[in-house]
Amino acid sequence: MKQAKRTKLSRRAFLQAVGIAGSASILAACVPAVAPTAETSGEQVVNFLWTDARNTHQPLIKDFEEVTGIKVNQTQVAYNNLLNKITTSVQGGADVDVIEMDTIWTAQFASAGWVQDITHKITDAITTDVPESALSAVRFGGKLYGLPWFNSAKHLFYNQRLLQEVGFDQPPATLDEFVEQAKATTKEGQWGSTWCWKQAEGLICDWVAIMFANKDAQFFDDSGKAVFNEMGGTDALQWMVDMLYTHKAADPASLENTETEVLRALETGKYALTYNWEGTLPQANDPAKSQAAPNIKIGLLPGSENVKSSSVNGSEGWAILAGAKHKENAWKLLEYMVSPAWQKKAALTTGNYPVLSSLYNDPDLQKNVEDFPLYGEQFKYLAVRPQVPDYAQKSDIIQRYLQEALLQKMSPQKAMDTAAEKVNQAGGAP
Amino acid sequence: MTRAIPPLHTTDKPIRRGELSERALGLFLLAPMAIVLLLVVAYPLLDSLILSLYRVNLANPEQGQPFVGFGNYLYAFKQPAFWYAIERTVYFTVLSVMLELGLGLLFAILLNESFHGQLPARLAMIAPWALLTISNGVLWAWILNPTYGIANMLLVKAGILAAPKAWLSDTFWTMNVIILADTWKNVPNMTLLLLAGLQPIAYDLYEAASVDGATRWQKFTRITLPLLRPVILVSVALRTIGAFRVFDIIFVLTGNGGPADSTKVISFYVYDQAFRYLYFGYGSAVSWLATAFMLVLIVIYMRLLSSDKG
Repeated sequence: MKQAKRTKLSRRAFLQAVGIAGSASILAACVPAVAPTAETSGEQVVNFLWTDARNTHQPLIKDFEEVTGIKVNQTQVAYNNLLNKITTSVQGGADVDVIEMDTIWTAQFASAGWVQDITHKITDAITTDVPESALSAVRFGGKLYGLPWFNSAKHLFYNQRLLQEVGFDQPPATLDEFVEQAKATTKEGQWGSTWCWKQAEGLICDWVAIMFANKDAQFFDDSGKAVFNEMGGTDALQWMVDMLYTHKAADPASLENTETEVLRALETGKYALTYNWEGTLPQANDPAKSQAAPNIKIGLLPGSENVKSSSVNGSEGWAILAGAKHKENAWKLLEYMVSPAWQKKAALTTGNYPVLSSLYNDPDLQKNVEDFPLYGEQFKYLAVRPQVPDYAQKSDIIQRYLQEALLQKMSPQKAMDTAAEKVNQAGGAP
Repeated sequence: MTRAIPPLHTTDKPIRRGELSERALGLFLLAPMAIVLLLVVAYPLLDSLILSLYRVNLANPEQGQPFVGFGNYLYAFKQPAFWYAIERTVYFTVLSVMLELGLGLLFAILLNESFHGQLPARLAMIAPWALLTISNGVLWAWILNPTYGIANMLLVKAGILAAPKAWLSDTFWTMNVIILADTWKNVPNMTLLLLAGLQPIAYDLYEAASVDGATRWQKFTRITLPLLRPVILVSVALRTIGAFRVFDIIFVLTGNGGPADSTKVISFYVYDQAFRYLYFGYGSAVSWLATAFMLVLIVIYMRLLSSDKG
């Protein structure tokens, strides 16, 4: 057998090498990697966790720093990682003061006691210019847990040329008129409507917007029990199923579309009507990208005899964490963000839609965005998705059963009854 | 006193003072990797096992984190959604592994023959495997798109379909086209493993069989398959592990395990429970159950493949 060779490396040489490497790393660790913290230098700071994907808001943050002298330490993550990051920051006691809070998280964060109730801090100046529909994104149990950052809603986008071809000068004002116009514009190679009814959040948004065209629509009763199956949810789903199978006025591809595919479809110039978020118009009317340019117009989403218009709130807010170390500075950041200084500049430079009603009459903004006042009008008619702590789970359940009916695996009534039953049982995992 | 334990290394010369034995040096050099593995593999495994015995709901911290024993496991057994996810996973795994094995065997045998252009053919075979799963998903999403996808265009032109079909909104077809996309990507992996198993089989065996008058089929079933069995077992076990934890391609093609939850496999269920609903205890328990199911499948394969040895 071959004998194992003895190593030439002496123990001393080995330990010396390890020692040098170790000392070097310790020395490296002692050198400060970052500048001294603001606390130690006496500087005013606020620590902010949010998403500014394209850094378009950085000049606004700089404005705030100049005006107030408070330095904003930002931690930025992708939107899809934001919920996890907030969760781990709160659980781990990270030094975070302000967070970006999507409307669908308000209930969860508020009921878990993670975010600060700021109802008492809201001034008249804020309540007179920020409409209730915008504040509803950050309200839970009658209390305000943040301030809305921008306005977002679904709007009606229509191809004016296709509607005029069949004799309609105005877009539909009610869901019945929507059916009529969609049917009239559907023909070989062309659809009256397209939707984002893939199993995703967009499906819930469309369903909510359609549902609240009924003035008595309701998700939960006072005891928190799901009642949407009896209070408008089933009628909305029946309307959606009818669009696909009875009127045959919705493209069947809607069942695998998200908002992005709906925009692409609209750009082909072969779709008359759709629901989508703001931001659709500049792209759908860009002649370089869209065959539908310049015929796409914006209108109010249809309502009913009793409801002028019904859309869904897609806004987000900023909230102060209950465990924040710089609460006063955090409030100053929120207050500045909701001021005309931030809101107008943000609208001009980032394309965000302002939360202040007065800005929809601003001549500079009107010059910048086609049909700008119409967006402001739509923001008055917003329904909020269910404000419940286990929203993600409950939304998944509703999405699944909406699809069961849209795929004709269940009747709309049975699908909604089952969804309500499962929503009432949800949240019981050990 | 007699020395009962023999020295660990028999060297020609005794180790001198100040010199490190080879064994000690080996341990020193292995230590960093061992520590890293303990930290990133062993610790999370152990921690998830412990987590699975507690109620850990990050969204409702006021509930505390009480010990619930096997409560999370028992709760899973009572959930129809859990069993549905297992059923969908087993369907995906069995069908995709069977398809990959069948096609992989066919391609491996073809590539094992010597023919003109054998090397380019072998290289071309690897191409889909080199693709990232995410890219593969995006690629198939475009192929299957109902408005501008090439699959619909070809099928409509060939007269197989009357009108374009929305493949990813059909509860039957979505899972099956995902299996197709996954198979397309993973057949090369299977082929390469099987090809490596085919190459050491001595040509003499086939020659001897020919002398005895064996047909091609007899040579395949009596020589190739029995000698390839250990490689088949390993490759099937590896692919089963891969297929059972499928997540990324379903995420890219459906986003949410739709339509109507028809592609909500067990990894998706775990992801939802742990990372979206923040039930970390329950999510850990379900991931351990999924591992147990995977082991059961592998044991069944091993039994099937080793039952008629010799």
